[in-house]
Amino acid sequence: MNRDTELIKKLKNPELKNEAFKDLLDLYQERLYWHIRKIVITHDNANDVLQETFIRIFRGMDSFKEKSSLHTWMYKIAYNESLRFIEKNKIQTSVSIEQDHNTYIKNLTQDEFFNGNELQLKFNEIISKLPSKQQRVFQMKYFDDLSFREISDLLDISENTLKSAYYTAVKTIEDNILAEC
Amino acid sequence: MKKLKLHKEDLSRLHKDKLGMDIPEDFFAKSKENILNKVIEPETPKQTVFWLRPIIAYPIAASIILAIAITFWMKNNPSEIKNQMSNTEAIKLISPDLLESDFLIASLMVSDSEMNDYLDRYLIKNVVIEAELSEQQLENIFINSVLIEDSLINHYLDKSLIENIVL
Repeated sequence: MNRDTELIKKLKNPELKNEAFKDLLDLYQERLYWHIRKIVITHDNANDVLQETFIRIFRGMDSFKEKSSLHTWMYKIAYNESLRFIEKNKIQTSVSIEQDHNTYIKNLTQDEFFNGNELQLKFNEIISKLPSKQQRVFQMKYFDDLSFREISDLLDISENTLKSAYYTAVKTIEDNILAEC
Repeated sequence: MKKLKLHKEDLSRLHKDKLGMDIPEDFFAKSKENILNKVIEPETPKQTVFWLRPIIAYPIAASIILAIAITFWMKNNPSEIKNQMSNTEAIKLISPDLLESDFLIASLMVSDSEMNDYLDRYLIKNVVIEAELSEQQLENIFINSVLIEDSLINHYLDKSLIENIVL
């Protein structure tokens, strides 16, 4: 029995649920925070979405049918919560189309918990200019360390399409960084 | 770009180093506490009135139910007996010549006291009276036979005596 299977079993047991949920937070809180932060950009927004995500996970655990892994299921909730937050607050953050690139950078630089130097800001700018699909795949693969299979489940896009989008994104970023040097 | 195999602990460092994104000190510990406070309700001890505690309340409830049940039973039982008696009487009226087996089956539905009453009456009527009647008849037959015998003997004696005397 792997760690997640055992955790699911405990989370579905009313007597063990609270203790198991603490373990779940220890295991996944940090991962989901960073997944959310790259979508909503600022720390305060990420904090709000993170809390809402875990509340949904706690309340939705009984309806979790285990068709996907616990890992993927939670990332999906976090991803959907992030998109819902953006829609609700009408903020343009991580969209990659050219005219919204400035909004992304503006939100990033106004966040009190952004301490990036020139190079880091440049890296953010390059990412923000990527097409939406490439941007998502690159962030989930490079920063969140998700497999193509997991990203495929999350975004409902075929693995081959994702691989193609990822390698295109990597090539674009490398070309841009090289051009700056 | 080199593929990184990340552990949870590396995530914050990676995001800080590559993207310049930082977090407040002890953020994850505080966040965990906030989330737990929102989803897990604190267990407050339940304050109950003394006589509402299960150890007191359950026996009281059981006693009340038992008392009600006995009251209902006491009220309903006499009418049941009355109904049973009237049914039996009705059967007797409709078919006075019912077989004994019919009465046996019917007797299953009749109370013991009623059955005893019936048996007393039945015994008096069918056994004692008939026995008395048959005894009376036997006595009559015996008396008759004695009278007949006496008359015959007398007649025989008279006849033989006359013959003997005359002859």
